Amino acid sequence: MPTAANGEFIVANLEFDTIKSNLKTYLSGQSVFQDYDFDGSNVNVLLDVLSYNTYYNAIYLNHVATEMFLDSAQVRDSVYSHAKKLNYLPTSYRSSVAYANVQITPGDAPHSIDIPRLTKFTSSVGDNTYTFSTNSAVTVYANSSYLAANLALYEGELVTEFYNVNSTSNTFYIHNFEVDTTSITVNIRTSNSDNSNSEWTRANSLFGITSTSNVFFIQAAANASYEMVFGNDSFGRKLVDGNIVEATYRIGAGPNPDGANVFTTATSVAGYSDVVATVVTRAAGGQFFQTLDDIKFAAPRALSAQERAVTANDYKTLVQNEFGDITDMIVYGGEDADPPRFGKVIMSATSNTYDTLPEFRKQQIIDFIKPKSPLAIEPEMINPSFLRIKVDCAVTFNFNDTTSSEADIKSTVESAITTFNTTNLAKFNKTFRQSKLIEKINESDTSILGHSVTTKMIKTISPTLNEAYTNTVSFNQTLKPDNPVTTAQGTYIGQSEPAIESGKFTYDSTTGATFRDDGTGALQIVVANTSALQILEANAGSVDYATGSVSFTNLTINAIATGTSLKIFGQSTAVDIKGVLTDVIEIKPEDVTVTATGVRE
Amino acid sequence: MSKTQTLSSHNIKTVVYSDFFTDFSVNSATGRLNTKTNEIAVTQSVRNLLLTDHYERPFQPNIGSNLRAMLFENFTPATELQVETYVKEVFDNHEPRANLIEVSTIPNADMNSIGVTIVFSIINSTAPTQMDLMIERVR
Repeated sequence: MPTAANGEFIVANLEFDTIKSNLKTYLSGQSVFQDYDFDGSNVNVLLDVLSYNTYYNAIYLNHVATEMFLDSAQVRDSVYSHAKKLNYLPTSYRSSVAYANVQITPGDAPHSIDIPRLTKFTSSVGDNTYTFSTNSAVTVYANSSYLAANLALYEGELVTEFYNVNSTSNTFYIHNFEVDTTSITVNIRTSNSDNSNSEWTRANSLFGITSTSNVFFIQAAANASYEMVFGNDSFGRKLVDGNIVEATYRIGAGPNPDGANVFTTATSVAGYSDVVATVVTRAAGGQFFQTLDDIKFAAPRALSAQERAVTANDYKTLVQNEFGDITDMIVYGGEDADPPRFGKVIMSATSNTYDTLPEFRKQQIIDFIKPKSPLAIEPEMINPSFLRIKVDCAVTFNFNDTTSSEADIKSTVESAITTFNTTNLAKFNKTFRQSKLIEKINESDTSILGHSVTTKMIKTISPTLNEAYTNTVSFNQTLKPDNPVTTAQGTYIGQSEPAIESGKFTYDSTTGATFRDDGTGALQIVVANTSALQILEANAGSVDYATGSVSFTNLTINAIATGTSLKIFGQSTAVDIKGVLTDVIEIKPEDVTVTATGVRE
Repeated sequence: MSKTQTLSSHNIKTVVYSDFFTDFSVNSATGRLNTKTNEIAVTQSVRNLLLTDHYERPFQPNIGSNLRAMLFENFTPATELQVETYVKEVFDNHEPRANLIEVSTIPNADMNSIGVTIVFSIINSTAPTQMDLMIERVR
């Protein structure tokens, strides 16, 4: 065989055509078989075989190499394996949880009634019926009218698996990948003839584990499932031959049952059939298993956090990994709070399940994170502070450049504003930039010629009607005061632009009242129109223009014109509005007003 | 495709085309693969092409004549025409070393077979080469 062509033989190409071309180049240096370049020749067929084989191996090796790294792995088993090396447990399916008041009306009058663990309820979402069950036994008493308040109902079917222990393995595979790993309970029998169980608990780390601890560990396994690992008599008691492992767990339907809010008992409870479940919190929090992208993101970060919450990012990583509905989170030390609250870590989160996290969810997060926090640090959850932006937009467009009507353009612009909100706002630490919004409005349709966009900030207050109301809300932005306004301004009153305004309400039996500042820091209640200003209360509170704080002092509001909360509008000095601390800036569709005017030019 | 070499008085090369045998037969004396050369090599190439169906060669779906794919077609006068077209396409598209002179078919509907006689010439060679091919089912 020739050697001259060897120097040109390229091995880096992975495509069939280039591999074959390389082989032809190689063969061009010899004269024994000259037909390598003719489709019908035997040499050419042989080159096909060689090229195909090379291509096949290249693809195979490429896949092997891809699966060797967490960043590029595509197969779930590979990603799980890499995550395992980082001591990270991918999140399993999670059952939807609903909270309900369960009322039993017995025919007799017992002192108490036991609602056993795994009492079943059913609920339908769409065309599907789901089974929910209690996770722990509850006793209700006559003196509480046999009411089990706020009972947690978990969606899913319960499965029990039995394993025979032999000397070859201390690891037992769970045969349902839909397992909710938080629901796994394990009982051990010493032998098949022994009916007494001992319950073993799940351990998440080696801390506090001794050679006699009855514990098991959960680790990711093949086919997107998990396996239980038992101790070795150094860390955790070792199982012995003949033991029977009984594992009970729940397999859920992921988020599909979320929203279930009508529950009926599947069976009688402790012999009583008159059982009514009234939902307190609709079913929420169901999850499928963690996506591969999520695992790739979370595993290295979980390793850096080492299951300990020290830095702000640790808190964020740990909580977001455990609670799948948390879309965004901000964490800061209490020293940054206003007023400072030393010794606290303050967390605030947004969820894709709840508008505002309910108390039980906040408590779950605190219970989860507290054991991982440093000593003397107390985690605390607070609600995000939503700072809404009111957008008034008037666009002019050219009829000659489009077939759309004014209504179409209006709809297009509204849609662009909604998309802008989703893409750029509605999270912590985001800044509303008016120029970017204008850019998106302009880009929304090529026929748009010009526009006018004005924005205001909105805070809402919910005073109890006909009761004295004192409160302070803060825009956390510098406010722009107008020149002091007096009743003497007459018809010019409509041209004033106060820093603070509000929606209409009834005050002192006068309808159409609104708040507005007087330009010098006093908050007034007025009835204002384009021609006159009537001041109902000259000192309803105060406005701090530098900090954006608005204080309401001892006011009694009789009625709110629209809805149950009152909108307070603030005029910021800057056109860009930056969210600070727990502020989440958002544009709600109800706060957007768009007018579209078509012209021909 | 590589260019075929011109046989001229100034550049006479005895072996222009060379290929090995389909059965990988070896020379018993030297232990090397036996070779087919020139007209014989081209004839073997043509036969290979005629007996290859489309999509048979990896990543090269167009190579071949598709004659065997006609096995399940109805036997009609048009079938013969189709066979001739397929043969012609093989020469046009995949065998630049030969010119097709004539292709004729002998149908035998009762035996579910069709005989194909192909006459072609190798480029730069005046002697025509005839190849007979019987297309029939094998089981």
